[in-house]
Amino acid sequence: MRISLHYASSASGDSDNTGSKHWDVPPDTELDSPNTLALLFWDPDQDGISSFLEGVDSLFPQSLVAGCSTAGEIFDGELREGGVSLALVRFDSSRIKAASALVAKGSDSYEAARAIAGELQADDLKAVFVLSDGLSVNGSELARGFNEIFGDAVVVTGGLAADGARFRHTWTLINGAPAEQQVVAVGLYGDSIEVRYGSKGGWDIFGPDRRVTRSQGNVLYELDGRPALELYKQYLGDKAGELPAAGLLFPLALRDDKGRGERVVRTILAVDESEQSITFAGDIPLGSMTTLMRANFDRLITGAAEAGEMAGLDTPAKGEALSIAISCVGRRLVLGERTEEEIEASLDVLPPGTRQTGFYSYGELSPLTSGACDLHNQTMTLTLIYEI
Amino acid sequence: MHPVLLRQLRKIGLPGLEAPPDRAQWAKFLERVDHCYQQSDDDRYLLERSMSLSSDELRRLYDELKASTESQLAESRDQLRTLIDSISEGLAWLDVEGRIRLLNPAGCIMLGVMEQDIADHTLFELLGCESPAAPAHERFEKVVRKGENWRDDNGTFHRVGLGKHPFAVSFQLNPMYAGSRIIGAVMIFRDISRQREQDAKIKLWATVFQTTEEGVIITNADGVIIAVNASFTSITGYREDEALGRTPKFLQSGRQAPSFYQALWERLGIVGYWQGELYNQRKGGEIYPQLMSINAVRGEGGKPAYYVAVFSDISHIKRSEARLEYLAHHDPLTGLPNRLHFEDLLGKAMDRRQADPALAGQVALMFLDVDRFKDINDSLGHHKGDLLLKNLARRLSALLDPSDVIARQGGDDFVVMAAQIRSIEEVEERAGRILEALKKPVVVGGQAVFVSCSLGISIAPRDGRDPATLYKNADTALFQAKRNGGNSYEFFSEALSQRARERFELETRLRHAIDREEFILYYQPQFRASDKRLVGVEALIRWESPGFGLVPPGKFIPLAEETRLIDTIGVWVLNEACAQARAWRDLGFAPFRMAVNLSSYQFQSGKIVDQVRLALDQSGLDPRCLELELTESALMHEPERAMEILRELRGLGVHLAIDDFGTGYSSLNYLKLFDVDALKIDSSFIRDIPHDKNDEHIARAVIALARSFGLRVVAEGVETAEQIEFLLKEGCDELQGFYFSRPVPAMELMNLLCSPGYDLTHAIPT
Repeated sequence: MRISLHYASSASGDSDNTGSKHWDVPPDTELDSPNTLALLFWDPDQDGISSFLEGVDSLFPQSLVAGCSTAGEIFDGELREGGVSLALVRFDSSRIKAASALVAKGSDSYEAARAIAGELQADDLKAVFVLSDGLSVNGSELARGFNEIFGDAVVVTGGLAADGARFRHTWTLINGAPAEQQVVAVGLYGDSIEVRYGSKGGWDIFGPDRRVTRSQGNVLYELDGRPALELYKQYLGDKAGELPAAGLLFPLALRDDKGRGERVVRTILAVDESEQSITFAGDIPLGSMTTLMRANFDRLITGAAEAGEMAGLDTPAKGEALSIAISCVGRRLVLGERTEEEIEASLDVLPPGTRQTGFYSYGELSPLTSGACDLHNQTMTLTLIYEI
Repeated sequence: MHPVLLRQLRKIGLPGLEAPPDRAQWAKFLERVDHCYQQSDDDRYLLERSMSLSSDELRRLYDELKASTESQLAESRDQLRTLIDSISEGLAWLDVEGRIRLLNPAGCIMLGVMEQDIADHTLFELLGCESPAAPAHERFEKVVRKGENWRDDNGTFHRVGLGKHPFAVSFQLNPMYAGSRIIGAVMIFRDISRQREQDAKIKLWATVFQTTEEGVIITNADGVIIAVNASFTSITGYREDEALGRTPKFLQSGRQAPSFYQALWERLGIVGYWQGELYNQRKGGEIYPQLMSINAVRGEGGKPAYYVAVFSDISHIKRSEARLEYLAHHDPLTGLPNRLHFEDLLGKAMDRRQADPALAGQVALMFLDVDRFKDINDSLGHHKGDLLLKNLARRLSALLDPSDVIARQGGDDFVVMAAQIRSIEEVEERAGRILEALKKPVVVGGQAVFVSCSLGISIAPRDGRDPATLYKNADTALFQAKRNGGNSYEFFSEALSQRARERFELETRLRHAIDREEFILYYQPQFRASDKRLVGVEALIRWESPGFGLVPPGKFIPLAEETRLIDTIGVWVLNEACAQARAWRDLGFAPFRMAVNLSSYQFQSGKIVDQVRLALDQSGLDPRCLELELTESALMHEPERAMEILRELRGLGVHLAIDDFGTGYSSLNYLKLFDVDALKIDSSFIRDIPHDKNDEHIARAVIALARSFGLRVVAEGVETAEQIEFLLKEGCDELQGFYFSRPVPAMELMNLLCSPGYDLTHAIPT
């Protein structure tokens, strides 16, 4: 396989978003082929981004062009912003196929996943890379839909599109212009393809346990009989005005109603002042026990390295490989100026020759230890793809 | 340099600090650094804020929890206290020193102490062993040091108050833990004084139940035995396990009718109590009398729940009663019924006969008086006199019939009742037996005493219809017997007395006849029919009594048989006949058969074979010359035995003939089996020949029969020539009768033998 990475930013290098874009290295159109995957990750807050992306698509008519909006692009060990990242991958002996479905609201997620899975399903299907709308989707239901069809036979990884720290609109793209409320997926086929993954968090819980006393799906209303939004506002203090993005600073650790089992992390997608509710990227079951979480810098960075170690386990020592790093926007918010440390950490542990692409997301998808796909929040999740 | 700062420099194109930055770069750099500080502030703000909030929240939660825990604790403490206070057992908490730290109200009451005063007291005080050396201290140490339990169901506590009065207690101490540390002990105790008393009472009752001499049976309402005591077993012989689960029916003897039990249950049902005597059966089968009382123990609703039967074996009482009854009715010396009892029996026997004339037999009463008893008593002394009477009583009892009753009237007077008399002879026979038996010497104190007695006899109803009359008349008869000199019996009726006297006299004479050689044998010749030659003689006994002249056999033979004198007489006849035959042989007469009659008694005595052998030995007579004549009845009495005896006699070599053939059973079956030589046709069949054709038929048949069996036939009582002609014609072998010769004494027979008409050559067929 051959990999080629490109980044397009405003011509002047300014961040005023008014100028035209130019590639740091012009994309190698020679790589265009039916076995070529072109992954696009972009900052949605750019003028004319839609037509720019369409332009990219027309450069690679044979290739499968897929992508999503982000809260920051990960580009070969660096954090880039305000531009478009392109990763070209031409597979030597593997086949790829795309599918997509619409998710107008959270409850559509399950059926959308089933439809896509049904479309991609084949005997030699090895893995599916998913990019979903980041606001209208219920990631837990999405994962459930894929699991329903694939079980643990197919590796499903991916992430939820982001909109910086704005939480207003997210887009996904498949062979054309970007669209909202859409889930896209790329199936990877053949005996040559290998897909590995790793996922780690690194957050600490703090404060008392709080029981979910009112919720519906992924919308949380009350904790211990008190509006959840009020709690978050109290903790954020002056930062309350920055909700929902500020909510990412305090993800919610979730356990079952007895306070037992593995903790899953839920991150905020939206707040509703009139309803005094918070919408999370995954389900918040009524009665479950929650605890606020806060960042621990060192552990976030160590977590990213551990995710890399997990994905890189047993990979060949050399040869080209693509690592798609999808990290949560909450991490970026916390890490601030130190964000690139986790990007570097996640790449450093992979074999030499591994190229890195990826983005900061509103949620990550990857299998649990059980093998079934699930939604994660506040993690660094890696998908490592190579051919043998 | 901080890596973040290095990164920031790199990002703005200032990889090092070698060259000073231009203004734009510197502004960018400052912006980033500022941003970094800003972020740091934000981080610190959020961190501090969240820590503070979180801390407040946790503090609040802690306070809430504490408050709720304290109130819960107080609540559960109250509940626990209520629980402890409401326990009816004493409950105490003791510290490791054994001091009472807490005591519930029940415990306070038991120990007689106010709750506020408990701290002054210790466990050891309760146990009454305050010395530290006491074992209780060691035991307690094990509880509070080693965590052992201490239980005593048989302890004693001393009250703290109330004069330290002791009471029986059951207590248990368990170590009390605070975490893993023992901080004392919990003691639960119970006053068991009443239970102890109850136990003692139950034990006492159980002992009474088990040791009482009366048998006790306890059944449930259904009458199933649920408990018995030891005396039950010793009286009935049934072990406990053999009785439990059964109803007492198995003890029944069957002596009481079902109606008896019905009445018993009825009474139990109505008054709940029954007492009475009944006969039950022991395991060994013995039936015994019981005095039993049964109580119904009523349970719920007044229905009987249990029945308790208490009984005693009253065999000994019954025996005493029987003994008293016996003494009242019996003579203490001899054990015979006394006069009172006898009169009662006599009266009843007479009443029975009066009420039912069809009843067989009559009642005879015999008064018996020992002759000259006064003299005997005087010479021997009273003691020996009594022994003599006892001896006589025993003898009398032994010789009388089972249906007879003998009683002692007093002194030497006895009285006998024979209640089933069918003939005067029977009475005479009894009287004779008594006189005879009493004549045998009685050994008293090593001395033989000869006594005799007198009997007076009266027979109902002829001599009296009531006991008094019968008594009086028997007494009169006795007086007569005494006056006659004793050793005799008298009937009250004169005629009977006369007859009895004669018979007695005859018997007496008969007894002496042998000694006095008053018997004599006559011989009647027997002739061969074919040539009229003498072939034998039949020996016939005659009694020439000095006072009575010649007594015919018909008169004395029955008496001899009755008095068993026949035995002696029979032996005499046998010996005499054999000796005579031998004497004739010695005198040179040709041998001929000597026929001797054997009585039934003699034949059955079991001694006949020896007697014959002895007679032959003593006389030296050729056995072939002896013919024994037997009646059919003698043989048929016990045919099997008769055959055996006949075989033995045959073994001696003698001839055997059946006498009086035709008068008895004449069983042809047995004739075949009896090994005899000859048949003698009874004279009664010969006598009326030729006039009675029936007799002729019989005689002819007998002759034909004998011939068919190969037997010799002898006709007896031949008196006429016509008879001889008939018998000859029919083939009779030998003839005997007056036509030829009547029975004659030995001397006369010799004359006959010597007369020319008697050719005795070849008299005996060889």
